[in-house]
Amino acid sequence: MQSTSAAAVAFAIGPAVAGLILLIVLWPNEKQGVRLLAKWGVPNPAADQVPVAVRYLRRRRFLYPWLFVGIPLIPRADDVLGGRGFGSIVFVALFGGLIAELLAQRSPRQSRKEALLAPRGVLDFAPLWTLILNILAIGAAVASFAVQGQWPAAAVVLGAAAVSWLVVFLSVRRPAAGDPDVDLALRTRSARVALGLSVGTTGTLGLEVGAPPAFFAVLATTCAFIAIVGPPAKPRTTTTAAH
Amino acid sequence: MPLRVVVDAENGISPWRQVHDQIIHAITTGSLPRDARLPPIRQLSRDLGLASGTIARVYRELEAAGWVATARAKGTTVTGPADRPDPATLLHRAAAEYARHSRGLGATPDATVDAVRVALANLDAPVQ
Repeated sequence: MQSTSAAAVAFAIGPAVAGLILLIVLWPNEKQGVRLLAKWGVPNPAADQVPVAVRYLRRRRFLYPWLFVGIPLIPRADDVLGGRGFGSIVFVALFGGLIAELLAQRSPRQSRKEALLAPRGVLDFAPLWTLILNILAIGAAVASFAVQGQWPAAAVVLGAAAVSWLVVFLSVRRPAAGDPDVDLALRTRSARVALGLSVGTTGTLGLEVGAPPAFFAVLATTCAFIAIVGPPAKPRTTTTAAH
Repeated sequence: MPLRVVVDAENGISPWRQVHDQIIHAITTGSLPRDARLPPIRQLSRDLGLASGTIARVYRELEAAGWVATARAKGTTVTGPADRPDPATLLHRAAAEYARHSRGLGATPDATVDAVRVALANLDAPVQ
């Protein structure tokens, strides 16, 4: 038992160092904040919009190394998640997003608070086709794993889907961050990346368990992943909720 | 531009009154048109960091005054009073609100009127 724990800790030290190096290299700066906003619908962000995006990125990237180290310490995590491959990166990003959205649920501390006078819902941030694509991909993967008797893989896919839907729900629920344009961009990114990542798990697990026809499954899920996490085609200046 | 409501905990006016007055202002100026949907109580209370009972009170008061209606399926929507107040009525209503606030601050009637004159002068002053 002790030797198993020691092995797990030893196994985690290398990735921890790698994670910390990655954290330093990838630590978001203003340039990345501008890029994120430009990609998600705020083409020329103002100076006061950028720090909100940088804080959004930092909240996530700070968590990645710790999750990368922590997840393998969970008993049998490597067996279920497929070792240290691409799959584990997908899970780290997914759980990082979940924790960041949970932290974002706190009410801001400043005395002056703003809110939009319009209801908001999931479809304001994740179009219906992204939800349908996500359900189809998850359903197909679970059915495929079930037919092959790969119940742990099916459970992991369902778990990843549940986490991604929780992230979508939390991204709609949390208080506003920044002005309406920035807020829309960040909520949209959170929702769509989470949906895309849960689709990504189906592909990575398909590879790990060697499910036939793995190649087509990976190809299809990669296409779905790219389509879902792709930002909206046209830059927008107003929120859907305001229409 | 999406319509926003702002609550400042340090401006001396109760949060529910701030939300209430801003919604009425938005309806009377047409920023919130008839049939526009207001956010659910929970959403607005979370966003503004207020208790849901506070926003529920705002919606209740607005509904009692005929500004909004709440239906299970549609949520809370703007109805506006059957006869929308004319500008003179709105002016008197705003004046009454200001007078109440001024008295709450302990200002004398003269100081209250002087503050309005200063505010009007500032509106007319050229922007620097």
